Amino acid sequence: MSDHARTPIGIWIESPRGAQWANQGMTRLLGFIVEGLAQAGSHVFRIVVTDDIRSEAEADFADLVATAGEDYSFHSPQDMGQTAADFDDLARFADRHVPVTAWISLFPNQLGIKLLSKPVASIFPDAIGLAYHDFTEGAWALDGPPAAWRDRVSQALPHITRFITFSDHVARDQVQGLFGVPPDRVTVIPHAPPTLDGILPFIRDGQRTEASRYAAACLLRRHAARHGPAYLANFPFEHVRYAAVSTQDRVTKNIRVVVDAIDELVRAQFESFKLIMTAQLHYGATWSPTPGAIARRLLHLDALSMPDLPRDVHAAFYHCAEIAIHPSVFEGGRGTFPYYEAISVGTPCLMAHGPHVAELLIDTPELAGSMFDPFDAVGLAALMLAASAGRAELVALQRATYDRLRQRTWRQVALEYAAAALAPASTGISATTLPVSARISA
Amino acid sequence: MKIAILLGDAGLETLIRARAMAQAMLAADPLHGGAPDITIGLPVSDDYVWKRDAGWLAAGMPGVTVRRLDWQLVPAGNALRMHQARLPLVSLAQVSHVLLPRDWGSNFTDCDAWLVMADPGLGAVYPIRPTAYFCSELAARRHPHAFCADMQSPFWTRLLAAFQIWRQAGVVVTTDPITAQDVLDFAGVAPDRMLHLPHSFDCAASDGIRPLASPQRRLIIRMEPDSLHDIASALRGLRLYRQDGGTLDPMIACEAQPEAFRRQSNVMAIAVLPAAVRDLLEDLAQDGGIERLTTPDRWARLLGRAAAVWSPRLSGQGSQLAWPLRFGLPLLCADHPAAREHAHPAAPIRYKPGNPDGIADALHALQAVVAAVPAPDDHMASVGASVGASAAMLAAQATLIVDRLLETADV
Repeated sequence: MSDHARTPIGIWIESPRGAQWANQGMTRLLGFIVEGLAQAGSHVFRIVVTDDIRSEAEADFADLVATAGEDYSFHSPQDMGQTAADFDDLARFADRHVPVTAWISLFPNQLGIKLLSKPVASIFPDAIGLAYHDFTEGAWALDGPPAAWRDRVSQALPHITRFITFSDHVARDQVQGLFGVPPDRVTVIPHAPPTLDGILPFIRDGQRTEASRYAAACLLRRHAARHGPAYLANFPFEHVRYAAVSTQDRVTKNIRVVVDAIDELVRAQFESFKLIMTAQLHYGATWSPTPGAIARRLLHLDALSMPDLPRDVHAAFYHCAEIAIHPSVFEGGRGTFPYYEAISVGTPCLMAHGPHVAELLIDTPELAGSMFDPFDAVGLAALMLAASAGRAELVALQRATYDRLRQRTWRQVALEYAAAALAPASTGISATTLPVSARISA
Repeated sequence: MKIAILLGDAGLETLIRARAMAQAMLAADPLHGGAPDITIGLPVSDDYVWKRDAGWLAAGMPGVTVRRLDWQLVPAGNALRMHQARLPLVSLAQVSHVLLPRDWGSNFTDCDAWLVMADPGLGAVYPIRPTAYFCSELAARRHPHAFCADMQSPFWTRLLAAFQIWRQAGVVVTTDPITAQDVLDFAGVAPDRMLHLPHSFDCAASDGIRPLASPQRRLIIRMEPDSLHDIASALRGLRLYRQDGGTLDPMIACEAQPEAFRRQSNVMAIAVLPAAVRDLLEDLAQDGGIERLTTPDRWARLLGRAAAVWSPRLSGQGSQLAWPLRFGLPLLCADHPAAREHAHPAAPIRYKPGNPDGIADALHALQAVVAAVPAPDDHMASVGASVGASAAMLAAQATLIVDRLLETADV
């Protein structure tokens, strides 16, 4: 299909000066959708960014399985020899020079959309700041970040024709519950399960062998030697039982329960189990209980951080692990990315209960045994030992579920985004509240 | 072939293991050559004490000599330049300082191989000669506060430096399954650099010590004034036991100075105890109930006069477990993997540490056992000979160590 026949949809991103594009979070999601769009061939994304971030964004997207100019294009004021002093300027440029049928705003608090004349749908990932409180003094001051965010979303709300969430619980509890948006203005588009398959050439069909584990361990040692921690530089990862926790340390992430479980296993039960996390540990920080828990117990050689892992090392990190654990009490999506990513390279995942997991369990009740109470470290410790003892069986079970869930593709997801953006404001296109199984067969 | 056994300290457990190791090596049957000569490097504290301990270590073993040893901490770069002619194949990139043994002569470089019996918390011993590191325990993993107060302590720098060397040089030897696991995933030593032997070297007691008709109620508490011995809970439990009418007569046997347990002690683990518990210690001290263990012979002599032994130590193999059983004495101990290994002639009574009420109950259970067993001298001969590994077993283990050293030693 030629570009002329494609329906152009604008992507609105307010990236503040100095911000990094970074291949993570919402920009990574956008990459997945663009790749899905490339498979469908029916639409083109016209992505508006500031001049500051333009080259970084283009370089990042060059790695996608998608064609620039055909499946997506970047636009910024420099194209027209202009500059934009603020996001209002950027919006005026976009409205005048980027021809689209409709817009998708990456976040619901971006106020530049008020100046866009075509309909705007907005992604609403979550409202964590409003639902899970940060107790630092400035956070809830009069103009603290959560209150300011709420104010901006409230301002943007009348200009947004449709909200897109990744899950029913965010649609229900946050978009409708916190902002009073009627259900027919919300479309739920769950992600397609991500995969790390194909990143590491020595992993075949998600199978872990002695050789593949050794190769993964070599990657981890090499990374640790270059970037730290020094303790792990020549560490025998392939012989050591460790739990992989891949997440940043934020208010909902609850990493401390894994630290507590490691403490229980190593100190009280004389078991050998380590925790290696990708979260950066800021010792002395008070906004997270995790660093303090490690420091007080002098557990720092059994609870370690390997932050900023490149994609291949990240895949190796999961592959070499005994188990993955996602202790978060809340995610905006349905289920957890670590489950999909870990099992795609042959490692089972234990997940803390929360609304995101409850929603996943509707379609995957067989995963109930992989869940734990996020506040029960002793229970988690017992589950870790059980998962380790029955690892092969758990991998088989989680892999079968994963293979089923993977029938939902990013092509489907991309088309649902396009449909949501183009849908008339009053029409609820709720393929939305159907369970995943129904959406796969649809 | 001459092997140096380099000791990290002159503590009781180290002396016991070193003598047993030397004895076993003398009886070893290595793949090449005959049994090695042994040179033990014994750290010096007090000159009188050094001579006494050196005599005990070598007694009855003509193939064993003992030298004074001073551990010298030197910058890694200095060590590289000092030994440029025969640099070991290890990287010192992660190590700022290394330990070198000094004897004010050839500094043990005249030995063909080294067996280092030192806690890694001492630092990284630079393996100038083919080296095996004997690791009795990595207690810092489970009880770090017994070693330091926080993450910034220099202890961790020394420990990590030792681990770096262990990962690259020679072989790490251990006789404890849980320690073998810790050597792998705490020290980070790959399995092919580890030698896990099944029998401990803790049972080699002095000859000639025979049990006496013991006061039937004497309970030896093998304890040091630190958190590794669960001291707060143990002493609270002891106090409860006595309040409950317990009749065993406690005597603390320690390597520390008895003054460390007195009411005015400035040892942190004692100073923070409640006044009532410190009063109990003071009463014990005034009744001669705190006895310093100066030598293995002294330890054996105390056991020969005991009715039962209690070890509140939270982990690890050692004579605190092996010797009471060898003497046929009822044993009470904190529950941990090394304690669970002992089942012969009778399994020790184990309790969950940290709980004074549970400890008091366990003491009463011990008292009941004491009342039921015959006097030690009646059955010592039959029991003692069968506890622990035989000399042949230990020699076979020593052969494995020597063979491993011979793989890289130029002899």
